[in-house]
Amino acid sequence: MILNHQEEPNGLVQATIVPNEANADNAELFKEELTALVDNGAKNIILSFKNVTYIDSSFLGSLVVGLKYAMPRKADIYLVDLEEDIHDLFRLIRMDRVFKIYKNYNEAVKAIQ
Amino acid sequence: MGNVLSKKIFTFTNDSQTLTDSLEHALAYIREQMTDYTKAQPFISRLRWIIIELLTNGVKHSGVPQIQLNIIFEDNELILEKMDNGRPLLIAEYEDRPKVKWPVGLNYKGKDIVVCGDPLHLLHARIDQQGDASFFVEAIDNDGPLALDCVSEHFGFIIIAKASGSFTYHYDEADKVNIFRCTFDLQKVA
Repeated sequence: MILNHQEEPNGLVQATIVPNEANADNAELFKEELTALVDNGAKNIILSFKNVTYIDSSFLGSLVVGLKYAMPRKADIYLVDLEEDIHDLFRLIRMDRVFKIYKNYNEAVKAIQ
Repeated sequence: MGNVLSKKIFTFTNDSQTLTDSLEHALAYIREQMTDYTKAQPFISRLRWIIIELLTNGVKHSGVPQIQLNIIFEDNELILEKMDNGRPLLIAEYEDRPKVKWPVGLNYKGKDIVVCGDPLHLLHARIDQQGDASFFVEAIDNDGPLALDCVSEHFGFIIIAKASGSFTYHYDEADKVNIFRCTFDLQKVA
């Protein structure tokens, strides 16, 4: 299991990436679990990176695939709890233009409301 | 080429399960060599991203059991070299350009090709007369809404090219060795 998740009212889902290393070994399973959340009715997925100490391009690719899957289905993905180092990597490849990134869960919920 | 101050050769198993250990060994050596490491944390982060991508690229594409990572400190430069005896680089088709495979033909020497692109970036390879490629990223000015469908899902070379001072590929045809080389100007490290 890559995502530990908890369903809230109104299609809100709080999901946490479990492994410390978000890499090629778990990228495929992550993509499957993320798209399954959308299939199961999630509308706003708040994805916490609090456990993640490093991320590679394969996992980033799965994240983009997940967003591409979610958006046409009227769902969205919000990223929270990114270590500064990981946030810097998102900025480097301009993924901060693609994803909505918030400091923590509460800030993401506020933005959704 | 400057004076080599120190050099360490690592031979790593091309296995995703051991990638983290390989990464930490390489970073430990770099930390030992850098006298003012605490100020250089953002630089170490960049090296971490690059080494991860170089090693992951080896696992995915080289098709051989081992790769070599050379870490070289010269006067004012750090060089990371990933070497393997695997399949030579193959750049996939993009728009109307056919795939490009090393050793490259004369028609590509001295040319600048677009490796891939999306609404945010174009990844270029400038191929010199010897057939060596130098990769660089062109950021696309785009303040409007993004066409999400067109956003790339492949970031490996973009990460390496943007985080490195320079990022090149050389194919040693005689020995059939792939050499990816990233260089960094240590004077620019904060």
